[in-house]
Amino acid sequence: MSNTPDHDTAPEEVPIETKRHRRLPRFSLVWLVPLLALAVALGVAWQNYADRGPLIEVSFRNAEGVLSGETELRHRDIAVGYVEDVGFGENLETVIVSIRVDKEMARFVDADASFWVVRPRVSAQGVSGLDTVLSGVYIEGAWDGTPGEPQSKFDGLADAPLLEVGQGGTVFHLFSDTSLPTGNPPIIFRGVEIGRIGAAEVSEDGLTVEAEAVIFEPFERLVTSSTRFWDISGFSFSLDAAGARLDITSLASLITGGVTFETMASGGEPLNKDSVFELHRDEKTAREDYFIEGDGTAVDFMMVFDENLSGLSAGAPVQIGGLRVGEVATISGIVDEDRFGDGDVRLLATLRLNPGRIGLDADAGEEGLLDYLDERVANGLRGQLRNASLLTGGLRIDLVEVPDAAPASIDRNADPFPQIPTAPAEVRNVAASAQGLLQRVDDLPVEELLESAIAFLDESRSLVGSEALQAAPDELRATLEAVRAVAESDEISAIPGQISTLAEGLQSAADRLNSLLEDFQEQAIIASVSELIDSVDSAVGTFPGLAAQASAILSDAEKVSLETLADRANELLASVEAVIDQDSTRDLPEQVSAALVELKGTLSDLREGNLISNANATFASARDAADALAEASASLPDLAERLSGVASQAGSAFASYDRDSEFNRDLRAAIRQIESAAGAIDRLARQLQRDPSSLITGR
Amino acid sequence: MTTAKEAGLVACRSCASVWPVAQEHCDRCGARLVSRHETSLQQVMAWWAAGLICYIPANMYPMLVTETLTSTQRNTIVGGAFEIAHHGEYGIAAIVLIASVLIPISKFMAIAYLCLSVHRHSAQSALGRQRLYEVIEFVGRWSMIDVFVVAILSSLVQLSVVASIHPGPASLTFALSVIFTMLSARSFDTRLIWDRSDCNNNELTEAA
Repeated sequence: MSNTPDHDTAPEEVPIETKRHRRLPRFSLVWLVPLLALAVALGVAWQNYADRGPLIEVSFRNAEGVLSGETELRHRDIAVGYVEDVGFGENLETVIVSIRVDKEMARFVDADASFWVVRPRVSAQGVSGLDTVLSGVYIEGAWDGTPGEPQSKFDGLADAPLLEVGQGGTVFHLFSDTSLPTGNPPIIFRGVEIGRIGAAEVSEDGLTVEAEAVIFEPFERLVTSSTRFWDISGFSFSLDAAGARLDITSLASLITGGVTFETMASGGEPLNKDSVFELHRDEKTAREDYFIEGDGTAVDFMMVFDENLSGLSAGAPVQIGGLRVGEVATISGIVDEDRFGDGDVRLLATLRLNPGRIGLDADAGEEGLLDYLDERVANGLRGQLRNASLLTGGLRIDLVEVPDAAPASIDRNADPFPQIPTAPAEVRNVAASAQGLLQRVDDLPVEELLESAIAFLDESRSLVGSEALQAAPDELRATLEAVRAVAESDEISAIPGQISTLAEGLQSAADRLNSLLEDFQEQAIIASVSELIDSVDSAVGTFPGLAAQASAILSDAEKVSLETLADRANELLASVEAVIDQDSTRDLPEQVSAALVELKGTLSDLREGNLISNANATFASARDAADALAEASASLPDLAERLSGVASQAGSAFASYDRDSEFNRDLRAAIRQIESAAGAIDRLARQLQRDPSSLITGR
Repeated sequence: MTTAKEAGLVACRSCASVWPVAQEHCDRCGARLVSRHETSLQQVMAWWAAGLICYIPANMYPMLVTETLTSTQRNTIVGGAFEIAHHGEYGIAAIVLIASVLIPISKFMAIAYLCLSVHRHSAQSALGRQRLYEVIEFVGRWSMIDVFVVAILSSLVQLSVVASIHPGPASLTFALSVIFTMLSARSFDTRLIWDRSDCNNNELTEAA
């Protein structure tokens, strides 16, 4: 800048030239400020870049609530990164969340890392992720504490994993034919939650529902292959002979569902991550399943039944005797014209048998069971359908020994399982029987019966109305009057008097015999006793002969002419008189004699009387006499008893005397004779009693 | 017309007393006397550069962090202005945009232009440039309006969990940027505009 002085007022010697001539511009210190700013900016930028961790990409099916630049990645609830970007994967099928992970944490994020979005969740077990209601969702990352090979692409989980970060446990699989409780229900063992079930998914084939489940440390040892799980969701109510029963395991499980288990036996393989368990409907089913399946040794068989009956269902028992050894797994129909020779639909049942239930060694396995059944089938063991319940009409399969069964064997190559031969069913069809009964009742000829009954009644009425029948009562009355006249006749009236006379005679004879016996007793004449007995014996001995003679006469009397009869009677009388005249006979009871006398009188009448018309009366009298004789002989047992009484009395009387004396020996012998005499009289009396008239009529 | 420099005089910029050019310090107020700041343009450019460096992150980073119960909102200066406009507050959006974008940027451009024109002995109207400088000086401070708004909001809206507002990193750099540009404008020695410009002298003479 030239400073040309064009004014004289200005002092020329102003020493500004020296300053002005420093052509090199002075460097201002202010430049330090932008330099510093630049340095700071660059420094910050570099530090940011250097501190920046790796970018990982996690793909989610759904990234609801994830915001770029805002959503955090957390590990154990501490932010260790943030979402930088949210985009889509190929074909827009997934959401790719790019996460900037903190540098110091990045080395732990290796292949075992898992990621899921934490959202607020309200369930019956409680509220989780509540903070995310206000703060927005965050992404939880789980990985272990050992550094590994870093990885940049991950698949995010739809839900939080069952095992929380840092929690030990074993994950396995549960499946069910019906349903699994949803909402992460707990696995409860004796009231304590020791595990959890994940979200259920329908299996690929659509037949079952599957879910992951976890048993927490250190309870894994409680679960083995002998364990059975069952659902305790809700409550169960049963009403049976034991009373009403309501089961609620816990209020939480009532609302959310739950699962419990029981290890049925010791041993068994321990739980591992490949384990698969079935979730049973209830405890009973679970126990039955263990009963059949055991620890996984059940063997499949099949049977083909010719009878295609309703009532057999899957789960029906298979029994040997009364022992349940298995159950029916499936039933279906089978048509095989080549094999069975006709086009009928047959019943094909597959069953599962547990060799342990039969009592085979647990190690026997399939081969052992097959060998055993082979042997039994050769002896006639067959499968047979039987009624399991008459009420429900359910069927079961019994393995029974059928005698003289056609030879058969187990077809080991049958498809799909070895086939056990069957026998015809033994099924009582209650409904059919009842129907048959009703049918028979229905078939009864009720109408015809009623018609014939009506006809009968009509005929009866005409019969009753007939004059002949109405006259009958009069004739009947006349008959009765005639009968009464006969009964009131003098002859008939005299009979009781004769009978009483006879009875009195018998009584007096008995009295006399009594007094005689008393005399015997009093006088104690042994000799007379002996004599008496001898005579009685001999009398009895001749008696049958006499009786036979009499009966012969009487039998002939009706046939032969009266003259011959009279002659025979005379002979009889002679012999009777001879008998009566015998001393021994005279000693017989008086009534016998009286009877014989009367008989004699009768015969004398017969002999004297010439009128044949009297013969009937005579016979009647003879019969009366024979009856009287029988009556008399009926008292013979009395006599025998008395004789026995005498003998025993005498025995007791003589028992006081010296046992060894001669007198006593004789006396005892006499008494024994009395006893045998009494026995003989007894026998005679019985013979007479059995057939009194045979004595007279010979019949 | 004769300038003070041409008359061999120098004016004290603190108390406006006039001294001979040789005088180094003002006898009245003790300020250092320079006829022309030799490093004026350097200082201007240095501050300008610093301001520009600060202005870049001021626009990239969020100015305001609004935390409510459900969300956290981070707004850059321009983003915030557009959001306000979205809510229908066009006037406020315009104010924000003018104060935070238009003014700083025009200031940067104006200062650069002034420096260049002085450095290249531009033949542009010295009076226009003087006016331009005065405008820049005047409006430059209004850029701080954004910073003040952030400062006030941050201190007032602190409702714990429900809602709170924090200044973002951009607020600091923006404030620095404004300060640096103000310093830059202040460093400019307007007398330089009038030096070496003969035609300007005439204009000024005419104007006077």
